[in-house]
Amino acid sequence: MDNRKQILIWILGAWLLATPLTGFGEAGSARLKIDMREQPSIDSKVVTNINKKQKLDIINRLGSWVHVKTEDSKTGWLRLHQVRIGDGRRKNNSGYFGLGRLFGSFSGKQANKGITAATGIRGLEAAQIRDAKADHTAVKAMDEFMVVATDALSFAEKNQLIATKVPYLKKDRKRE
Amino acid sequence: MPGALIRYTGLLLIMLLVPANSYALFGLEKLKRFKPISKKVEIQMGQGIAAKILGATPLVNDPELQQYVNRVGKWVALQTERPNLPWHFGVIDTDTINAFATPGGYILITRGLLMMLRDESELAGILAHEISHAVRKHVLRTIRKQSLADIGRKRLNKMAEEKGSGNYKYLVNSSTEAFSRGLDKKDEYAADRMGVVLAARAGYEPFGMATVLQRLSAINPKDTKLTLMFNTHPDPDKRLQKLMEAVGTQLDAYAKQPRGKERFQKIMKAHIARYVPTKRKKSVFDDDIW
Repeated sequence: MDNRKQILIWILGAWLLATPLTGFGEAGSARLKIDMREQPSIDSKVVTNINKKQKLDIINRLGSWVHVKTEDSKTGWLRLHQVRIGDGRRKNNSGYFGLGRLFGSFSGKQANKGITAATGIRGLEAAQIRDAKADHTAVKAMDEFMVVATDALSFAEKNQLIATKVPYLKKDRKRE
Repeated sequence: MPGALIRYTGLLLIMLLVPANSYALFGLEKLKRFKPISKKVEIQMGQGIAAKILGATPLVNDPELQQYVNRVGKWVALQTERPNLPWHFGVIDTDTINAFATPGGYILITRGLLMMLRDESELAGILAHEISHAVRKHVLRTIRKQSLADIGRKRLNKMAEEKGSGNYKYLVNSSTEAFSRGLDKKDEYAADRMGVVLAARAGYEPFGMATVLQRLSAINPKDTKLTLMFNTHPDPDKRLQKLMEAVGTQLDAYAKQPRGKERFQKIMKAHIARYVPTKRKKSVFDDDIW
């Protein structure tokens, strides 16, 4: 019995940890009336029709395609720009997303308050940049972190980033 | 009578055409002046603007984090037509959400934007957008059009070389003025289109930037952290729609390229998540130069 309980706790723990990392179950909605496809391809079979503003669960993303689940548990694929994150209303707490969401301590208003109070910087307005005193020491300091080409190449190699020949989009090719 | 009509029509046409033609000439004359500025001057202008931004917001005091962002940025920059610009990348210490490209390859991203990201392909995508502005000289063109249209290239070069002089100060201040108003919308869309391609070239899953735009479009535009970005960029939702329209299925073949999620999150967790902003130190140059 104890063993089973322990396993259950482990599974629950792992699930709780994994949830924010994968973005599984993130709330979303359809931007427009659209066909939901079985596979991430425009040639794929249509599973169902999605209505504008219909609620969706975002399961995953593959390139420009998003894997979603409807409220009646149908799953399929929509294109990235056809899905809005959230219920369609624009939220204020930008810290909710990404790492802010991952590391609980950083999300929401409290985190913003803390950071703002510590730095004394309240947003970076255009006027602030215009009126600022130029800090040439800081520009020089950027040299210290500058990376030479060979360093960038070994970073890419170490992390299996393989350079690929990709032409510019058709719309921009005249320029080349 | 018809002869008179033809005669008058001709005269009318000439009257209409002459001013139009002289405007065209005037336009041409202006174009002539926009000959390319030397790379050296471009870099000096970029340094000047970067100094103003860093004067408003210091760099995040975390060398390892800065170097990481430089590695990703430089790797992406190597995929462009200008791999040899002195590419510098920096994370600046504000929870505002934004990123900047100055001429000559000085790219800055805010801590607020960095913290919004989920993987390295998103970081690469944002840097690729900024790198595109620098490669295509979008900022330089805007500055010349808006602030320095009346100054010839030779004089501009001379001004840029007189570092520390009143002329140089004027040059940087007017550049910063134009810079802070933001770029032409079409340049933003162009950088979005070029950015996804650069990310794909660098071996990343190309839609990192698109995902960030999708997330940005879920934030209330009145959020003060986005004021400058929303003032200087088209609406993120519109950017996403235009980008996806232009991309179509052209980049679908690269959808399975890596996103660098584990690596990115490990680094962010070890660095930015525990980062305590430092108090701004007074620069020894504060009373110098300007």
